[in-house]
Amino acid sequence: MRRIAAERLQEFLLKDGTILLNVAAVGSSLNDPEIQWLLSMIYPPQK
Amino acid sequence: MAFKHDLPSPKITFFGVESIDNAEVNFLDLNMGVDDKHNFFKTYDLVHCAQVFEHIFDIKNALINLITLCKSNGLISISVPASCRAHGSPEYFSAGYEPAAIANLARIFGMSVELQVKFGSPRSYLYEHMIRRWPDKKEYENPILRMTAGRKGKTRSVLRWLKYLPGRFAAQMVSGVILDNSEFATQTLVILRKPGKFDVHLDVNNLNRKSSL
Repeated sequence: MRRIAAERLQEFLLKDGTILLNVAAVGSSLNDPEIQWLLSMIYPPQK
Repeated sequence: MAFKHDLPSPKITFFGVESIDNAEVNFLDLNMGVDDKHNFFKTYDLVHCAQVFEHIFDIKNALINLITLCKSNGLISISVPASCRAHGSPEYFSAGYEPAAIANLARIFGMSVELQVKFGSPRSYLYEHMIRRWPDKKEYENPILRMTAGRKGKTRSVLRWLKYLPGRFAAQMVSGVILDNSEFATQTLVILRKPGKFDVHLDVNNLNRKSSL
């Protein structure tokens, strides 16, 4: 469900904008699917 | 553990509530005012607040802080459970928010609402409230067969799989189709835009609007 939230946000992402990501638990949130998905959209994997 | 220099580019700044030992972690408590002490010398094009509001006791103040951190014409997105179980650190304060609760509050502060939606499925609701697990994508799509590989070995993984098996059977039986504004919604997403001409002065220490739109 969290990944879906990030997908919905995709159309609003700016190409060159600055982003502040506010999360609850700094220690663990980088592994959250929403954040992972968001990061993968902002920084697509290099082919 | 997330540190400033772990991020792939300075384009993203990563802040959170949880205070842990390492001083390099960016700390932000939305209940408090945002000021120079927190090293917020800039504003951002997009402020994404991910699964934080249920850990906030003062969402009015939190929203003002997010608005303060957003550039004019910038976006604020808030994802939060629409319905959730009590869960751990940092402190838990809310069982979830309807999109309108956040959107209406944001409108009072002069924001325009680009999107307000909640979504979910009977399966997501069951996972949240009965099985009490957040499944990964593969488990969500196939609750019975998916076995998550644990770091503590295969035996542990099998035991965990057995532990949740009755719930997984139940999850397999109900629809996993995710619908907008479903009565089984478990997630809320609200996207706001800060107007270009933002003439409302928001003061964290005095939560009343100082001028009218």
